[in-house]
Amino acid sequence: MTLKQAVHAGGDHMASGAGEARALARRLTLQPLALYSAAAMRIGLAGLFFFNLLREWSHADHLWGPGAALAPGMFEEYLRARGLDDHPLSWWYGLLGTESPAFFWTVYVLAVLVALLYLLGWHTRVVAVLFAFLGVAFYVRGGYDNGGWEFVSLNLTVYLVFCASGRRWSLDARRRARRGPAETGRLPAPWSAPTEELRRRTVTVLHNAGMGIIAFQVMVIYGTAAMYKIRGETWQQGTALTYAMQLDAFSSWPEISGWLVEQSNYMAVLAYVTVFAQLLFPALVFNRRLKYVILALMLGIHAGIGIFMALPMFSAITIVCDLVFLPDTFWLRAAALLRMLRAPADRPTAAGAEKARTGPAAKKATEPAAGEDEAKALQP
Amino acid sequence: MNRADPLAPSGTELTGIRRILLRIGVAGVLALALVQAGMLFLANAPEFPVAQKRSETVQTWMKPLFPQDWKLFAPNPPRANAHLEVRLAAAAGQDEWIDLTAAAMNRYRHTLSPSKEDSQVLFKALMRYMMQPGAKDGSARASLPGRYLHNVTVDMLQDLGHDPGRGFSMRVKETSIQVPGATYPATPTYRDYGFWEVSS
Repeated sequence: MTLKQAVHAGGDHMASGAGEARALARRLTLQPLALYSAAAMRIGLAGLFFFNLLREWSHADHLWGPGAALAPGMFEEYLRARGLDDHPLSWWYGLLGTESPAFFWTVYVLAVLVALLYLLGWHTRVVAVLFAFLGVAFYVRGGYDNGGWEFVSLNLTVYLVFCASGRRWSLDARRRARRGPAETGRLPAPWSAPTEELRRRTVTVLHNAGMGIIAFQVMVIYGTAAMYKIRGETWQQGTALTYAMQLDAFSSWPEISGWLVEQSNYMAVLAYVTVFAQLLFPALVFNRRLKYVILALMLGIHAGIGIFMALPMFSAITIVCDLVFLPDTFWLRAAALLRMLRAPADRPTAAGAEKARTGPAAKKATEPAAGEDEAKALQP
Repeated sequence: MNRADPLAPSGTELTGIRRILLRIGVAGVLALALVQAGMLFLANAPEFPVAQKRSETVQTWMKPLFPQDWKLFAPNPPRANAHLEVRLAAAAGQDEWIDLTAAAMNRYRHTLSPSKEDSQVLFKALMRYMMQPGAKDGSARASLPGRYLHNVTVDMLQDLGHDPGRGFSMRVKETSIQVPGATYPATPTYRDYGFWEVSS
């Protein structure tokens, strides 16, 4: 008996279940999900990487260069110990293990440029691959000092290669919009329309799978962090943050940290909130409304960690990853709300409408309606 | 202004070989995503029976592109502060210890964007060395973490305007962190890490 026959034999209920599965599969091949979030993550990741390279410019030689404490010869030993020396991709992993300052600084400047182009969304897919190529080289070279920022950003870098992160808020999107709808409808490719449709569907599936994996990775991060914490007695007693905030490596403002740790009851509550927020995160993001509560809570926790515990890069990249859970409707409504707040407070008048039609504000005035339309169109 | 994605598939039906290719492609992508999800789970649940049995497979798949280490302050944050102190060979008679950790702290504090070299490198180098089996008797000095700590220390001394000369003595000052209600001695304890030679 074939599956089709089984479905027919199973009656209406089963048939509708299979139908739903088919509809979902069809949707995943036809509709790229959360394109605005993908673009926001691209901008956040590339922007942070770009900023970090400029920030560490005067420290670069000590962190990744020929003058690093993990000197080129020791770096080779390190690669051997990790089993990365005898590998088809060793040349890539060991790229920055160079003795030549000229080569190192060439790669460094190239990385700054690639990060900037990725941030702007210029030929995004090709630049995404280049960005990942360089990101891995920096990650492996900095092996001895890597921490949360490096771990999270490397995962996101690799996953984003598979996502269509240049469809929104990018130079690519602007170029397409300028060409106009007539030209974007035409085939840019030398192959036939059905082949183009096949290509687009494959790209869409890859994008959706990539976004799904990013979401799962974020859930794994929070879930794992919580599972490790609940084993510790300081987290159980609620003193963990009191210890953590007094660590010399994690106190940007020791005066504020010192005052905070004296509020021992609040610190205990904060420790429990942290653990429960992380533990419940993977479940709560499935709920349409509670999702925003838990994301806002995480934003607050990470802002605090970033400012007071000397981990700004780690906090920022975690917040960037959290954006994967925001649907297109969120971004469009937020944009519409922003425009409404920025627009003059008075009601639209005939004069205003006239101005909107003719003046430079015309584009702005028509956008909210378009946004709402798409927001409706995206609802299942 | 139409905001629909102009590069999305149009939804026209595919036929023949393209339909088959699409199905193979979709199945491949889904399989890859499922394997990645499974590996992610196993890499983060190392005590899970399957993860123990297949740990080599998991590590080969995950490293180095998908690092998984989400144990910051878990299961417990450190309960003491360790400071690296050195005394230059030239100053041996004077008993003048330089607190390099305090110097690093002064550099990264009171800024929203500290350099990693100031806020993390020395702390991590010291922590990694202290966890080496031969840290106390000095036999770990030749290990990679030992030589790394050596180089970090020399860099730091030079940055502070000291000439490391022919070497330096090293000790670690550990101070328990005070929490309300707990009674740990507030006086620091010292661990002697011996003399570290600097070859020019």
